[in-house]
Amino acid sequence: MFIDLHVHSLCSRGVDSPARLLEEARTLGVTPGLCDGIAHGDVLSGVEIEAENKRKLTAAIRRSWQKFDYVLVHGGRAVINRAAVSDPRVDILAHPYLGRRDSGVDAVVARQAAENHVAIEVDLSTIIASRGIARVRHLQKVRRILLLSRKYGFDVVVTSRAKNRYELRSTREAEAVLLSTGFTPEEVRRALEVVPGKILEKKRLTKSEIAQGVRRVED
Amino acid sequence: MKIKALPPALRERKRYIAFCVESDCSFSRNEVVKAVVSSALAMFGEARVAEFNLFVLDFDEAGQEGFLVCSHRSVNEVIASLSLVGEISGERVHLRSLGTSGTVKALKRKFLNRRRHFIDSERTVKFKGKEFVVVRESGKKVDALPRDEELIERLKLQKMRFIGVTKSDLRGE
Repeated sequence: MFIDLHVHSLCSRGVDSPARLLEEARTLGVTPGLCDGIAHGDVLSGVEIEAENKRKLTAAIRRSWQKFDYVLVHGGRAVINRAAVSDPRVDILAHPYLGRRDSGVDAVVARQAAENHVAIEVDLSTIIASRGIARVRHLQKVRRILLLSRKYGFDVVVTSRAKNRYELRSTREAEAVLLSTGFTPEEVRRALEVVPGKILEKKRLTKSEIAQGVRRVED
Repeated sequence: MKIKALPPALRERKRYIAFCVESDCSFSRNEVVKAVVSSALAMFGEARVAEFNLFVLDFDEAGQEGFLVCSHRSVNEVIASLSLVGEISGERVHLRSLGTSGTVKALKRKFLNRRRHFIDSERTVKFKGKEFVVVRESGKKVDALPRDEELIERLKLQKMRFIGVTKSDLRGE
């Protein structure tokens, strides 16, 4: 099942209430994570950090990484992309290609992302929103990210980046789109399900630590 | 004179795919067919789409759902084409694929006419201290028009008309 970790509700940039998005996601059979920077009780809640430079980014990560189920960094600028993948507290570098002519991921970013276990996001809403040559250019960026992930072994995570209820996609739909953009069936399953699960599991384990590196084990 | 149908051994296997239109407004059959075909052409190009044998067979304007037929080899591509339709006539939509079947009969039984429709309504509600005018409802789902500038602006950017809330939101849970 698709675990969609990048969805915005009314509380940040979206237009739907969290309850409505949950209801829509339920009809589609996906598990949504709301990244509004607000803890939504028992719903998966993340934060998307948007910062202008590395110092402010690190400060923001320090302030919020323990409060949420996962941390995204709003990527796009080269310095931010680099800074995000060099911090192991970051879970996902969101849309590194945003507003760029290239993919925003180079060998340096790729190597660091693999080392620090920062997943790199490919979002569906950019693919859906673009048409013609713009979509061609975008799909080239996606292929570049895939190519680097095969070489350097960082995780690719796919999200809808939905800002409204009509941008959510079901597992089957996301799968069909990804298969037509160059993902192998195995990569699709990893990007939709395995990697998000891994991110949440990692966070659950760090949250149960009572001191750094010390965890109480249930027996 | 009509030419003879293809001998059974040469006929290719078909798949029927049911889909529905999720949007803030309704669309005509023509608009939907055009959107599906042009999305497939944009994504896969003429040569590939020729292999799909894609035809939109039926679209019910009242229920905003319908089905299409394609070759069994191109089911993934056709679902991707449906899913990649982001807007029709400047309105945000989601062409949701409901399911795939090998016969029209099974498709209708399993996937069509099962959706709950929106019913128009008009009342003013409060949510998070702001006033909204409810436009339509369907089960738990409630679509409403906001009154404050910021949300109206946001909706315009998203090419949408209504914000989405639920009945439980309006009860203040």
